[in-house]
Amino acid sequence: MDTTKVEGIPGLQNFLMRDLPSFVKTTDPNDFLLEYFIEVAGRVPTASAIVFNTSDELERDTMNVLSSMLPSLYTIGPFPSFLDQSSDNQLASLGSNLWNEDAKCLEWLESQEPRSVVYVNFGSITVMSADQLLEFAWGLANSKKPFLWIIRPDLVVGGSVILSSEFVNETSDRSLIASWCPQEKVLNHPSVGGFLTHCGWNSTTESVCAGVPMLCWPFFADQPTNCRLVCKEWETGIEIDNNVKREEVEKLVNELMVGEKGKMREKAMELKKKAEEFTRPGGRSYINFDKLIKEVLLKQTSFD
Amino acid sequence: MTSPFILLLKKKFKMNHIAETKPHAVLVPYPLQGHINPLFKLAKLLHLRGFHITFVHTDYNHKRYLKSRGPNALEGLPDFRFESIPDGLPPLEDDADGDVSQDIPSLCDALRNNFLQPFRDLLHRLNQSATAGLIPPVTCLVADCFMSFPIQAAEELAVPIVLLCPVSAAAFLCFMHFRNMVDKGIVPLKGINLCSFSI
Repeated sequence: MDTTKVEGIPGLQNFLMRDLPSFVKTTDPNDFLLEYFIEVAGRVPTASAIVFNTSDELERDTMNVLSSMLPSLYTIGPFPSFLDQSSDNQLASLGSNLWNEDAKCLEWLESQEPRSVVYVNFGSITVMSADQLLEFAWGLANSKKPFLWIIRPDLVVGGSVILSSEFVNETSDRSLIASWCPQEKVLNHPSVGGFLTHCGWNSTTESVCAGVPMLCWPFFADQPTNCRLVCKEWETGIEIDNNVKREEVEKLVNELMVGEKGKMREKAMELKKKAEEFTRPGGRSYINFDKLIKEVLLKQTSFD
Repeated sequence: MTSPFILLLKKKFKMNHIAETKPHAVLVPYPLQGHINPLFKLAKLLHLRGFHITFVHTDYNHKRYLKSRGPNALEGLPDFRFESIPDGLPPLEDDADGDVSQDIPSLCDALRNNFLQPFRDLLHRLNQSATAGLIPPVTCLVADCFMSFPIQAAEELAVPIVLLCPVSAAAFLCFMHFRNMVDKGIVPLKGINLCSFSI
């Protein structure tokens, strides 16, 4: 069932059921979230406009399909590059992280070799079983690569995160575990060579804008769809099976960091360059943002 | 007569002469970390283009910011302000220190039923401050596309509203087709639930 093709839906010709957002993969005809999302999707065309944190380069075909469905839309991303190329020191101190960022992550990265570190972060919502955590832990340990692993206190379902002393002894000289970090700074640090991610859209675009290839372990919501983009459309990442095993983690970490002469890294660097081109003055997303302001936001009323 | 609220504002912000010509965008995210981040970036980009910004958190997340980033975390700037509104949800049972993401069905239910009135009240207060010359009047709204109450509020206020899609265009296209998939009988699925994550 998971690999069944999605039939007859415009724009999703090459999609499998497994690629769809999790909310639609329900057996309950009265599923609350499915009903909620159908309701809000129906209201979207009544807004003055909708903007996308993507670019015509990253999702050209999809944007073409959406243009025919929505009265007013603008692609103005990816935001990380856009903001990175806009200087505003005044706002630099204003952040949006709900958890405390551990500054020692950057210090630790300073001590590592260029592009040697696997950065691991499953985002703000993903939870996993204690067994899955163990598989990731030993997969990382056995890969022999240095890693920076962000473990939220509530990452493991129904319990606190406990890593064995055996694991700690094995990896302490080449790893750092923290509970949250300034992710964009980490991804843009020269020591980071790959990103093990849940494929949330922020993590995905931040990785794109940093030119870092991804190991994808999508959890829910839009993440399976983003994972498809990364692995099949852009070819800047590889997917880890949902039923995660340490041997696979070890193998794929090595493939990510050193495999095929850094092909994924090369493609990731191309995407980074394109993201910068699109969001600098004169670039397509930059121009679209100007248009959005002029055509929509500065209009006196939109309902008259 | 100036209301006590306005006097308090004047004292607090020392802002008697705000340029009246500045456009004022009120931004309201879906109240989860992954949705707050991109809208916050968009707020910064608009601020760079000369917009006065009001960024609206829930009281729950507002408290978390003060806790994680310190008591001055949401002081902002004279033209980049933070406000908060209640989500109407009861405190989490198993969450002693209130430092976790709230669950999605509860949030969706609250967004549908609890948010419009406090948001209306906030917009009203902002425009009262504008009348007093403290801030520019609200000229546009920017909100996450996965909630509807800001669209209604914009209609009532007769200002433009721009939605931000916090997910990929590909995922958004899927969301737009959910209705279509139900109509075509693709969902609900028959047999085993494919979603590995049960909410």
